[in-house]
Amino acid sequence: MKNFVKIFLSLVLIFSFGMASEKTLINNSDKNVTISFDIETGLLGVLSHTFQTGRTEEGATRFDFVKQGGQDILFPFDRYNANVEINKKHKVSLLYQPLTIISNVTFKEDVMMDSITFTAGTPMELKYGFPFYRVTYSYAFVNNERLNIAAGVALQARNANIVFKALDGEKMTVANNVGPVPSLHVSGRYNFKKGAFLGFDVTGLYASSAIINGASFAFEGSLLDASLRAGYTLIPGLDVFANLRFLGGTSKGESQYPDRNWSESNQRYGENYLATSSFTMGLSIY
Amino acid sequence: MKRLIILGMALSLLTFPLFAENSLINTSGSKVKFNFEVETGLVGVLAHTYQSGSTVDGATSFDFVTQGGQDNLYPFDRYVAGLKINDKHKLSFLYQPLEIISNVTFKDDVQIDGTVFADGTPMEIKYGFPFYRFTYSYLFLNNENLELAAGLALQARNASIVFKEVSGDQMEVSQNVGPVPAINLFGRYDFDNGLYLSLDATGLYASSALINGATFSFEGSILDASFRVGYPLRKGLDVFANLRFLGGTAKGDSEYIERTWTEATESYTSNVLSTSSFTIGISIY
Repeated sequence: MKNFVKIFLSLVLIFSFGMASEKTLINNSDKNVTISFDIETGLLGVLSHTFQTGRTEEGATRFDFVKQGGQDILFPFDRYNANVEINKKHKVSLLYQPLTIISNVTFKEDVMMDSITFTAGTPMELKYGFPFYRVTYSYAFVNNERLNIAAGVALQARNANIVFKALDGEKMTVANNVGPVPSLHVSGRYNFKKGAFLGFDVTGLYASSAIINGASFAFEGSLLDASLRAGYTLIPGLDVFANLRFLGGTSKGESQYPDRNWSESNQRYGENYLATSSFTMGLSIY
Repeated sequence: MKRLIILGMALSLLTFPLFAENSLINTSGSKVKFNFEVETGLVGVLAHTYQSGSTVDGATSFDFVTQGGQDNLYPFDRYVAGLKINDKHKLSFLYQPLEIISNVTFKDDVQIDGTVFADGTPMEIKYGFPFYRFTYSYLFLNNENLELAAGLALQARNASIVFKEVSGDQMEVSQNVGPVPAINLFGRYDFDNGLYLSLDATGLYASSALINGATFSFEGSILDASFRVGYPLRKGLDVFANLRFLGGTAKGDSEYIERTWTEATESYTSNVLSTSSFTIGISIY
C-alpha cells in the first residue's frame, strides 16, 4: 500500500506541471466518471478500550488496554480511500483502514483471557489488530459549487486479530475474526470562495439484531467513524486537508462461532469497547 | 524486483515532455512500448493444507485456515513491468509478494517434518511463497476493441515455511527455490467509452517429473487467473479493479532433502493452496 501511495504521489507531481489550468489532475474533465484518491497520515490516541473473553463469573478479566495493556501512548495512523463518482451524483468509495497496535507490558495482576490465566509478573506482548476494509455507496442530494450533501450505505469487513502472548512462549491466546458490518453513511462539504472547505463524514450503526450482524445469534454491536475536515485546494485537482476523527466500536454477546478454527476464542462470551481519536493530514487527488 | 518496478515507473515519468499523444511514458512511433502496473488490496485464503512427511509416519495434514490462523484477510500487492514490441510480442516481469505470518495455540498435536508440536503450544507460523515470473505472449488479435494473446511463462517459486514455537524450543523450516513453467492466456475487450474488461490466466498442471525441473516423480499445478475492469483516466494512465484466484498444489516425494539445513528432512510433501484477492491498481503506459 505504501508503495502504491508513493507511485501515486509521483504521478501527481508529474501531472502538476503545466496542467493546473484544468479542473482536475488525473481525470478527463469532459467525462461523466471521475476518480479520486485520499491519503491521510497522522497519529491516534486510544481514549478507552476494554476487552473481555469469557464470563466474569468464571473469572474472566475485563481487561483495560489503556491502563493495563500499554495502549497509553500515541500510535501512527494512516488511511487510504479510492472513490469513483458517476454523473456527480453517485459515489462508490473503497476504504482501507490499517489499525494494528502492538504493545509490551508486564502484568501487575493475574489476567484471565479466554480461560488462560497470565500470572502477575509475566512479560507480555499484546497485539490488537482491527484493520478494516469498507465499501460505501452514497447519493449526492445536493451538489453545487458551494455545497455537497450525500447519504448512503456502507459494508465493512472487520478483520480482527487479537493476541495475548507471554514472552517466554509458554502461553498465548488468539482471537481472529472476519465478518461483514453494514452501516449508514452521511457526508457533507462546504466550499468557501477562496478555495478553503469544511467537511464532515460519518459512518455508523448500532445493531442489537442478530441478522444485521451477519450472525444467526443474539449479538449487540455498534460502529462509529466520524470526522471533521478542513481543507484547501492547492491547485485544481489537489487538496490538502487536516482531519479530526473519532473511531470507535462496541461488541458484546454470545457467539456461536467459538472453536471453529484454532485461532478463534474458546469462550463464547465476548466484549470489546474501543474509542479512539485521531488527527491526520492528507491529500485528495482528483 | 518491487523496487526496480517502482524506480522504473518514477524514471519513466521523467520523460513527461516527450509523451506521445496517447501515452505517458512512450514516445510516439516507438516500436517498443513500456508499461508498469501496481496493485494493492486484500487476499483471503480459501483453503490451504500442508503436510511434510508421510501420513503413515504420523505426519499431520495441517489446515492453515482452521488450524494455522490464516482465517483473516491480508494485504496483497502486485508489481508488473512489461513491454510490447511491434504491437505483437509482449514480455512481462512480475513480482508477487506473498507472506502470511500468523499466531495460534495448537489444540492438538501437530507433526511437521518429523517434529511434534504438542497440544497447547503457542506457535508462530510463517508461510512465505512469493514468486517472480517472466512471461512471453504473442498477440494473435490486436485491434481497437479486442486483444487476444497466448504464451509461455516461467515462474520462480521461492518458498519459506516456518513452524516456530514462541518459546523457541522447537522450529521447523522448509525452504525451496525452483522453476515452474506455465502457459499464459490473455484477452481484453475495450468499450467505446474507454472502459475495458480483461482476463489473464497463467497456469499449468504437471504430473511429469521433468517438467517440474526435477528427476523424480512429483505432481503439481498453479493457477493465477484474474478478471479486471479498467478505465483510462488519461491517455497512458488507467485505473482498474481486479478479482483474482491464485492457487497451487504440490504433492510427491522429493529427492532434494537435507541438501541444506533449511530443507525438509522428510521426502514426502503435500501443499494445496487456494486464495482469492481483490485489488485496485494503476497502469502506466
